[in-house]
Amino acid sequence: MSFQINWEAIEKQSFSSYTRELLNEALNSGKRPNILSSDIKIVDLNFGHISPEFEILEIGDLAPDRFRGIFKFKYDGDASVTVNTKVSASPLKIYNNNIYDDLVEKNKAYARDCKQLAEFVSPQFNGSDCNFDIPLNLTLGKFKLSSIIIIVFNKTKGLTLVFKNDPLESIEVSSTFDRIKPIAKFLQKTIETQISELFKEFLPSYLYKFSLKYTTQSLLQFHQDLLNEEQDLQEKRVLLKDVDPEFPLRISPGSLMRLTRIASSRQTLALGGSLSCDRMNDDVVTKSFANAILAASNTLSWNRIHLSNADMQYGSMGRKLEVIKDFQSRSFFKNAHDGVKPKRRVIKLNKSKQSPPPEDSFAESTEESIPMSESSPPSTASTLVEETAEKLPDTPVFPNNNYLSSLQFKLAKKTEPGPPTAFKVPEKPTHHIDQLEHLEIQSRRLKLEKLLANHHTTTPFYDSPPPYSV
Amino acid sequence: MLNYMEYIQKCFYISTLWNRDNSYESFLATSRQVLDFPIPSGFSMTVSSKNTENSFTSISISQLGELAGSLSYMYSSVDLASAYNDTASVSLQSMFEGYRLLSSPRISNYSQRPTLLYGKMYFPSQFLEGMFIKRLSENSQLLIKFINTPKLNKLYNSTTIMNICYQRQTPKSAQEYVFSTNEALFGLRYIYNLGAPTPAADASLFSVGCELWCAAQSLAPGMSTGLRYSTHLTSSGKPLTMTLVINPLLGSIESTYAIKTSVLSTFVSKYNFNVYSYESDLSLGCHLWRLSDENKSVTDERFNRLKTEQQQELVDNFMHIDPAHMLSETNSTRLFISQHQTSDFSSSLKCATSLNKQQISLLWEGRFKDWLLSTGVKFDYKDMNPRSLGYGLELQFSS
Repeated sequence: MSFQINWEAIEKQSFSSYTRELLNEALNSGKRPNILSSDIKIVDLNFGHISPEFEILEIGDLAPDRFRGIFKFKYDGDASVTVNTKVSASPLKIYNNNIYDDLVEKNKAYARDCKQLAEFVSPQFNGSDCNFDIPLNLTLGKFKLSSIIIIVFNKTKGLTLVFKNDPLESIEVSSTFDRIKPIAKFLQKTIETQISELFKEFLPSYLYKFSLKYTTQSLLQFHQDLLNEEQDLQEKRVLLKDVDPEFPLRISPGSLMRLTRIASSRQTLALGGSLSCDRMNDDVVTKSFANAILAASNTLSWNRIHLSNADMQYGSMGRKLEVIKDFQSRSFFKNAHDGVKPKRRVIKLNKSKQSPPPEDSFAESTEESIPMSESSPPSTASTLVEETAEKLPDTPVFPNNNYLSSLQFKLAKKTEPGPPTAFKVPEKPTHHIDQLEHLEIQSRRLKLEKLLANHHTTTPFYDSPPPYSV
Repeated sequence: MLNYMEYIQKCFYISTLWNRDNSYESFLATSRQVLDFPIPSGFSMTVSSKNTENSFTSISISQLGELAGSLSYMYSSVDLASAYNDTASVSLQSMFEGYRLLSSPRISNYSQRPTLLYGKMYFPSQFLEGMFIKRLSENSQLLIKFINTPKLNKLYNSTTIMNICYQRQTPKSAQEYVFSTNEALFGLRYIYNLGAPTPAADASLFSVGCELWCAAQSLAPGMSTGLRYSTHLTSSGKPLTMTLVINPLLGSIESTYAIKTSVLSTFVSKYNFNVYSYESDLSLGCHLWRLSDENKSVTDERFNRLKTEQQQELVDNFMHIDPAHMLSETNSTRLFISQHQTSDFSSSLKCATSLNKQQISLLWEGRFKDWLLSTGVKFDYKDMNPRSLGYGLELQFSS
């Protein structure tokens, strides 16, 4: 499984200013080290254009409202942070402060006594320990991070992220003291040690606070917000009408089906039961929608095979039956798992023995057996009507008797359904429409028709694909 | 307010004729006392007593969050009775330090070699601090200070720091050699007095001094040089002190001007400037005294209000005036000094502000029924939003 991270989304104004505030607060909390004589201020915070890489190692717990996983995290990008502060460069002042700090560090509980002790033993400097503050601009960039992280997400408790090991591999430190080599080296060393501590302690707590802020809204709203932001930033999706502007929607139903299948396969990654990115996006044609269009639309009826009464008498019946056979066997073989041959019920019409069945039932039974969607049950039983040449003299029904005979099978008994498949095939045709969807379909149909109306031509809109031409 | 140990040390110096103003350390004493005074934090109470002629004890309890205390013992090999007073009778000028009236350096012929020992233990932290002063000759003295913190748990080591200071003093010059075990700090202080020694007690004094420091382990250097000019306005005898301290390494210049405008008030101003970073600061401070009620009626000097005997006395004195004597006896400076030393004050108020840091400190010190009180508050008025940085109350009693 891979992630595509939209790193550009992180450059949003409100997010980066929120981060900056939080970072400012965090850097200035706690006791300021003596060497700094003013607050640390963030001057520039840039997340860069390269996103970090996540690789899933293990998922421990997955549920609609919680998630736990172990990831491998790698970042080798161009994010950078610039801070501004003042450094105290008076050595004897730092000397005095160090006496106090060493005492307090060793005896945290007795700070006041430490202060009195420090005053007692500090030599009284007469002007040698004056204030001397130098402003410092520090830029940290070219982070190279690589670590194993554990992420625990809980809808109510927020996000917790823990680094299993020290993530910092290398970092580039540049400052206003770069020309003075000893100071530059000292800064590099100090910051490397401090930054790894920062990642281990500060970043998890920051992410936790951030996650609390964003998941106090409902998760649905959060996704909605994210999507809205994403749609601003990401490239325009390719619409069907862009494929061929002159003949929009010139796409065969088969291709459309395949596309919707691909699109609907994304639904398996949905985090929640009813939550799916595609359901909320009007531009994506889902499979059910496509089925609905095809089922409900009258103008797109060219892919149906109508067998009317006229066909029985004058139409090229045989061809149409061939088409039906082809279609059925193709869909059967697609879903069959071993060399099971389709079973077809054969009704032999003999001139001599039986009276010809009434034409209505003939037409009915033929029509009944036409499945319209490829997810219908594999046709283990189908009715095939044999007609002798005598009955309908002017229609060469079956050009090849042998062809027909090869399809003759024993009378079908009720067959068991095929071996259970991973995807449960529904019994009913799937273009079952409920009320809400019906309205949706209506609206989309209107949209489609409006679209089609713009490209008004007298000729049929599409070339009929060869297999279905009659 | 001086704490008990500092007061005993001051009495020791006075009794052994050691001039503590004849040192580079005391150049900025006046400005420190009036501008950088510490505000007590929380509540603390000290009770001390002179047990025998030579030994002194002190217990203090303080409360800031948690209760803490300390116990200290002092021993002096010389009798300090001449200089020591209990808090009921001590003159407030000696406890509440403000303007440092310099005593001009004199040739000392002190023959004894006394010792002062001091030790203090803090509770419950079990910190220890101690001091040892030994007069080695007429002009030299050894001062050793140390602190020690115990090893409370296995993770941390104890801290021990010792400062050794060898001081030499003559009327013309004074040197100090300092060594501290913390980062192996070496220091040298030197002061040279121009125009000394003079027999007059009120002469003006011009001193030049410098100090050099070097922390050997961390190679942290420090140096500064300074001038101090202490004199009196001849017209009214008001003393004033001007100092200028320069740190050539860091480029800072610090100049102070302090004047005692009357017996009851002192005004000090200090200007800091850094040549490299152009940071500057102006600090202003004042120290006001208040006389106790008994004295107020006495200082009515109008001739007509005086009683007849006093009028007669004044006329006699006037008639017998000898010009040569007048200059020396009715010296305004001396009058001022003596008035200052003999006045009976009841309380003092110090107020200091710093324009760069935008802070105001207030400290009120006084005496109340044998107890010395000190209370103060510190404000920060940045952005016209005053908020207090600290306040406290300190009580002291000694017998």
